[in-house]
Amino acid sequence: MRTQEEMDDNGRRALAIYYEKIKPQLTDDDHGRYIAIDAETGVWAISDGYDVVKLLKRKTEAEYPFILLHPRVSLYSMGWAGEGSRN
Amino acid sequence: MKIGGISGDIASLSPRVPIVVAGSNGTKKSFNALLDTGFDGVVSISREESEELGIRRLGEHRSVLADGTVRIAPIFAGRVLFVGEWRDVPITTSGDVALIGMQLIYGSRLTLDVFLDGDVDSEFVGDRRLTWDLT
Repeated sequence: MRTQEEMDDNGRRALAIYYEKIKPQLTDDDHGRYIAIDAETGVWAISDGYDVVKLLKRKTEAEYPFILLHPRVSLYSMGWAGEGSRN
Repeated sequence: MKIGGISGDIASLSPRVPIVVAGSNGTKKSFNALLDTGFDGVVSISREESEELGIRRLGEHRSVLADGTVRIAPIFAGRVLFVGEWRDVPITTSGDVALIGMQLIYGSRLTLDVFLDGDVDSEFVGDRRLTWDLT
């Protein structure tokens, strides 16, 4: 089982790539699209759905793709944090 | 049609809907899932149950919990039996209670009879159900 620390580290690195390299390239048309990032290589893919993982794996053998929703970053809110309120 | 019921006592009523999650290894597990309109995802089960079921891992993601806590968690590609239909869905993990979120019930009209042992009824409105490409 992958530890929480390993997942947290993967998330930190993937989000750094998102904020520093990916987000500046995106436009308003990309709002609501899914992004998958391989934090090991910095390779990423973008799509309108979860097929983004398949697209990423065509580019690199990502073992732990990090998936996010642009621009809110979090994929889900659980217990009504509310979109845009806390993320 | 009835898809579930109101469980608990007056101080802890909750709408519950039975689902079955199928793992990659052929294992199936039944849940009396909480219908959680505050969860904007699809399905959530506990991390331990996801491991037991051996469902295929898609990757990892970030969730925001109700208290504002941010959590990194795995996300899986699974199959769920919901209202008599098997659907390929993304499954995340959270606490001990299985959750059904807004994306799974998207396209439905829900009626809750909110009293002890009341019914949870649902009907699809048009053909708006969401599908997910998890290949």
